[in-house]
Amino acid sequence: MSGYFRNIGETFTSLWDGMRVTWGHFSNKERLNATLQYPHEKWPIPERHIGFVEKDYNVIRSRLHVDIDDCIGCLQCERACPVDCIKIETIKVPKDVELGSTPGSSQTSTTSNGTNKRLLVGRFTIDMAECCYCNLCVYPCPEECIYMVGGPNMDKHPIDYEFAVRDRNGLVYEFDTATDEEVTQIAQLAGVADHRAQRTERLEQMRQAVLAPVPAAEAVTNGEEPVAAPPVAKPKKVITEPKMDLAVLGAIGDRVTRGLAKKAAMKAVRAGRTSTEVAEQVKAALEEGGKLTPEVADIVAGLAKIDIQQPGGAEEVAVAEAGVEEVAGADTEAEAKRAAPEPVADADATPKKETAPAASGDGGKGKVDLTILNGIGDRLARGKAKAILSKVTRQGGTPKDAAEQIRTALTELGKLDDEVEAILARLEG
Amino acid sequence: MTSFTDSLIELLGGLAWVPENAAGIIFVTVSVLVALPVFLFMTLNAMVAVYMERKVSAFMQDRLGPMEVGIFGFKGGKRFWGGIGQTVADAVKLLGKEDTIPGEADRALFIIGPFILFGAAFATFIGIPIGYGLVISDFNIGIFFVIAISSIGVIGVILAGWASNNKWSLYGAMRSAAQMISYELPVGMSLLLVVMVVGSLQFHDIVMWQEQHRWFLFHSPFTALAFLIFFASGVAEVNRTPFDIPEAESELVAGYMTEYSGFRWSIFFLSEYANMAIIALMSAIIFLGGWLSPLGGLFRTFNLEQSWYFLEGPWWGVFWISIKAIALIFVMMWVRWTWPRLRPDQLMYVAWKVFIPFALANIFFVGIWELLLG
Amino acid sequence: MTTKAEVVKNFGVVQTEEMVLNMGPQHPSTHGVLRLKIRTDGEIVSSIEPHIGYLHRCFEKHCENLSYEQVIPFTDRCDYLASMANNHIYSMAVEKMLGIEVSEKVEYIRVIMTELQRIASHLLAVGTFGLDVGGITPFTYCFRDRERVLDLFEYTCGARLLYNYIWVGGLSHDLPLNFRQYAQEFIDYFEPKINEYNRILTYNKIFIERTGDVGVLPAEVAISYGCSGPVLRGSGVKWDLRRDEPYSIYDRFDFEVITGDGQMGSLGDCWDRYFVRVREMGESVKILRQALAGLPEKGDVQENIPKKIRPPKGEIYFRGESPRGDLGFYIISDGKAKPYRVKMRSPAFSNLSVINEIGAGWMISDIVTILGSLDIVLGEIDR
Repeated sequence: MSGYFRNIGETFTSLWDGMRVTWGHFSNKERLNATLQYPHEKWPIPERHIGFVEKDYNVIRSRLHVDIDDCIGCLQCERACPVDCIKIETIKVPKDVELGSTPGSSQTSTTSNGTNKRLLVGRFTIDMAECCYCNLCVYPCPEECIYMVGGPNMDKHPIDYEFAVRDRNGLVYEFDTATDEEVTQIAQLAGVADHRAQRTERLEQMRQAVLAPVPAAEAVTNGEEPVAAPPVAKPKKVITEPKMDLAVLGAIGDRVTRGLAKKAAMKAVRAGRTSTEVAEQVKAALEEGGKLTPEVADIVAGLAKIDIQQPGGAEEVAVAEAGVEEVAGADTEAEAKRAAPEPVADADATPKKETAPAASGDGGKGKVDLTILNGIGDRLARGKAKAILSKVTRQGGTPKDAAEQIRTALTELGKLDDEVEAILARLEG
Repeated sequence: MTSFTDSLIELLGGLAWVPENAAGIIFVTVSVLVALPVFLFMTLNAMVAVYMERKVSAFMQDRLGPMEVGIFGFKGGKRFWGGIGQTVADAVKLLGKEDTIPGEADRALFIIGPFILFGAAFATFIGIPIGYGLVISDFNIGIFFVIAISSIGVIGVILAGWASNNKWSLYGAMRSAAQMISYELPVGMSLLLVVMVVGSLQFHDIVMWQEQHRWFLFHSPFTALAFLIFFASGVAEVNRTPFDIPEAESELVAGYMTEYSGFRWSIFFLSEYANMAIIALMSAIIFLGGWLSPLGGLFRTFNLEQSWYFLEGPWWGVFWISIKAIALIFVMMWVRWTWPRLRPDQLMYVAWKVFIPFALANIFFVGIWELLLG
Repeated sequence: MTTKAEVVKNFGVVQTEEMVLNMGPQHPSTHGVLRLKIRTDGEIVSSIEPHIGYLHRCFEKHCENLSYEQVIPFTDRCDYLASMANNHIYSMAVEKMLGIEVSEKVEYIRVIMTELQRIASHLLAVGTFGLDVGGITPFTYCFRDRERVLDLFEYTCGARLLYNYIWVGGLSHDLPLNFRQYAQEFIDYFEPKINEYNRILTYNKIFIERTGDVGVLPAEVAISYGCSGPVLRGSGVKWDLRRDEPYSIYDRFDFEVITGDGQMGSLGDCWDRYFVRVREMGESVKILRQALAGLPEKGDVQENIPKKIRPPKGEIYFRGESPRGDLGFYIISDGKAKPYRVKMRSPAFSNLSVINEIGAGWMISDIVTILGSLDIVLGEIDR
């Protein structure tokens, strides 16, 4: 009987204790509220500096992004993918042909790291519906051009984390910029089967598979542009950017520090600094990242002694990391070719060059110097600017128009800062 | 003592243009006129209570609850009282939903089930005053009427559960039947002692008694205990946590409501919240002094000047009874969002081995108390 | 046709039939897509037959077609509430085959991540168990705190649920700046919260009535069914691989192996299993404190990652303590880049198999409670 009453007493006290907890939450609702009203506010993600591409690379895994201008088509990422969501097709460019040498070409001949591209990336699609966000493709990339973007870091990436689409097919992202004509042309030169037909066929299959049009396929927009019969080949001097042998930095042991240092150095070199300034900037960046130790400082100081090879210089190799065998091979080939540029006889080449609307450029150049834009630090801003510039140039606009358009586009993205402004001014001048 | 119905009949009967011997017409008109406010009250009650429930639960769980939907462009507070149009939107959505009846269901019973439950809740409101003279019909057997009518609801629940032809629904219905019938007893017994003290079954008389003496909650320890038992059993009557075993969402999916959707489901919902209001109103009237101002006793005790008595007018009465009922509804919500659920056999244990013995003993002790002190 | 005599004879002996009830695969409390075939007599359950396989994704077959590092994202998806533990144990198995030793810093980070994951997983188990017995508010409190653990993970590796963080030979990312401080803040915030769960749920009388003495699992039965983790420890068996077969650097930490003690009923009831989890969160906090204090500042987390993973011919079985119990990986290598066979020993599978033993004879409400106290994850059971 006493157990019975004790039971009732315990019930009252324990239940009342529980009610006090919820009352505590009810009366402190303003302080304890955990809800984030999603469309109106987005949760802050702490700043995160990550290895090789500090600041550009957001650790949040929301969507894969490819800087196709930097892609050398080595297929490392495709092999690393456990679910086969990355599809790449490449054509080997013949030795005597320079990628991106045709007027109106969307390709660049080198990556932003200075590696020569010897493969035309005819197709680079990522199906984000298949992707398992494991990040395995990011690490093998020798050019660091595939990476995860997203997250609510609006100031870092205009691409936000709402990658919602109305159609499942919209999750197939096409990153390749090669036009059909280019693909045909290179394929002919290389003596392989016409890639364009296969590509069209595959696109058609995809369309039929989902019974819906492929939205925003790059191929479609490119197809609309008036393209004259493309010249078969075009010998042209490679436009190079200033380069610096960064191998010194390889002595830094810590991977993260090394990445930071290299990144900062590349940025400084692209912006046209002297070697001493480069060393200082690297130092500053490391200090900011909290990675500056005496040993590292010594190594960085060594940078100041290295000459920067200015554009126009004869031979330069700056392959920071050993890529695939193909890449290495391509490099030596390119070197050899640059040493002895043999003009391929082509009647159309000269008039084409003259009609090409690009105004600026010293005698050897047939189009606007895209590399000016390499000084832009932000990857997406750079990509966007380059795309606009090459498009305007193709359509016959002056660099001034292009700069204007780039300004508008970058303002929309919120990427227009003083640095970019200076570069654009240089482009106009 | 007048009631709403009485006044209406008098009014209509006294009108010159109403023909003689037109009792039928008057009856129909009065029925419609009294049914309308009850229905409006039930609907409004459900809407407000659902909104309140969502907000209370949200605040207790460190959430915000509905924040987006507004009415006429007015969303409510930015931070806490937002989304005041949410229940309106939900109601519209529910009415617009397809009304599905399972193929194997017993159609007729399936259709009338919710309406029996609703009818019981509806009819109960007839006897409940919400202010001095503000009652649809003032029975002299008010308490008896309310208890009797509200027990009809269980038939609707059983029909709904049986007719759904779903095993989970059947379980819900069986549990519900057992629970509702068991908890009728402690409810009745704890009211019995109030009736014993007052000597009347009429709600008005009970409140008058409390005006002359004191609230039943403070009358004696036994009436306080009776209030506790009445309120707890009332929570069980309306199937709320910790006594929500008929719809126990983690066990029986949704109990007897599993197969219902759209309008029929919203009828269940309406009745449930109406029952909540009934329990809260009855507790307020019988134990908490109904429409009496909580300050009234103080005024009289300390002989404050007469001008303060304005707080006890008939409309102030509506205010006080609403405050009391809302506070009780808040307690129900507070309990629901704090405690786990009992098991069916434990539920029976609580009813038969705790509440009923205590209620019985209570009657005895209250009798002695009244004899010695009353 | 029964005669009147028969009716009179059987009067008082009510004839009832058993009803077969399908609980799941779509049911609020089966924790995924589990189907329980229950034979009931009224509310009383006479037998329970679990039907699994609704979430089968051929994990083991997939592994035979993937390279060793590509398997890791798939282990994430087995026990999706404790991905870090899966990554950890799988990686350690492959490392053992390859004979790789990982650096001190990596070991510490792995332990920190696994223990944070244990807290997150137990929080979910505790919260949903509260939901199973009808208390909704503890669930939201637990999820609120679990979110903070996931925030830490997101900060570290960019993913909140499926991390692919612990790699063979290292980690995918180094710890971010100030991680130690954030983790410390979380621990300091979290430790008093355990008391709050206790107040609102653990010592609530209704909760004790619902879980104490219900679904009693004796130690012998638990051992014979191969139960492990909190289910086994709830029955009073002191068995924790972190202590009994210390792997990684668990032998350096001072922590207690929590066992049930039958405080609110018999030894091995649902309440014991539940309370083991609650107290284990406290022990994890203890380990975290020590690990955060001992975490080396310097070191490259990727220095030991092999370029190509080609384990020598042979086989290995490696097990560790995941939040649900003994998680084991049996890997056969034929010397190629892809495993010849990967077998996963999932703790939740063994824990679920005991349900008929301890659930029969209880009421439907108790089946939900017992299932919740076993803390199963269907992704791991079906693989």
